[in-house]
Amino acid sequence: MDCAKSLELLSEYHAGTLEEVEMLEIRAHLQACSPCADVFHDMVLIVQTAQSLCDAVDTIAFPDEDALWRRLCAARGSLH
Amino acid sequence: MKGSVVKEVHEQPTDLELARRAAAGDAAAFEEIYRRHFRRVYALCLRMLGNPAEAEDLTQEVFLNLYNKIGTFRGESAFSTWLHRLTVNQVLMHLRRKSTRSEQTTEEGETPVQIVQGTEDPSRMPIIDRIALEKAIAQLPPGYRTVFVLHDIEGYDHDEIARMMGTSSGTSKSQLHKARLKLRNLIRQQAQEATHN
Repeated sequence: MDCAKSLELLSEYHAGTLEEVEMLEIRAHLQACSPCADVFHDMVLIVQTAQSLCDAVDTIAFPDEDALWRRLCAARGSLH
Repeated sequence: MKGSVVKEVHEQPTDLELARRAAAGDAAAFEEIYRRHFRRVYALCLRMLGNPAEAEDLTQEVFLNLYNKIGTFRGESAFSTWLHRLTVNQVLMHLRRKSTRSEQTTEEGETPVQIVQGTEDPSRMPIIDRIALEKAIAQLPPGYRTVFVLHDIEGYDHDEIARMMGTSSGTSKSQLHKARLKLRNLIRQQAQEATHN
């Protein structure tokens, strides 16, 4: 397996959805090729960090809740 | 013997109770729903759109839509799940309306991803913090961003995403992969810029 093919299949390798032969080929390639292993390592970090964002809102600057509520009421007068 | 302590327990109404009251015209109940869920709705809109002003407008649209549809909520799923799906659908509809294709995009409507292999820095990629990732997500092309947010953050599978977006599961997989690679490049760029500043 060459680098281009390996890089193309990294997400599926990560998801474990490839055929067994391809899984083994990529695993072997990543063990031998440090640049591709770096890409895979970073991808795993990105996915893990993304998963931690699911219920996290601490990284978000929220607009003013009351102001948005007033806008909402103005857009729909009957809410009052 | 100590005097008995009478505890007053003020139980919060459930979302379902509030939804029923709101559907019956109780404006205070609807406001309570808004207060409970505004942050989650806004966060989802922001992540999917990458633009605070647009996310604010969409949040307003979601709650207006919710106001009109709240009577259809039957409590068969959790209210938060139902509202989440309502929000995702609203954002997807908005993205379709927007026709966001720019001149720089490829036939697939996305900018090509160049994979940067190797690192100048022996410590490899800088540790990704959530803020850096949020910033990079906002810079993704809309199609990549939508799939990445729905799959990697919100946990939808490719078949669900394909149904919601009117594409194929293969397209969803391909866009997710390109999104991850592009995010990697964006995060590396951020780190390089930070080192030079």
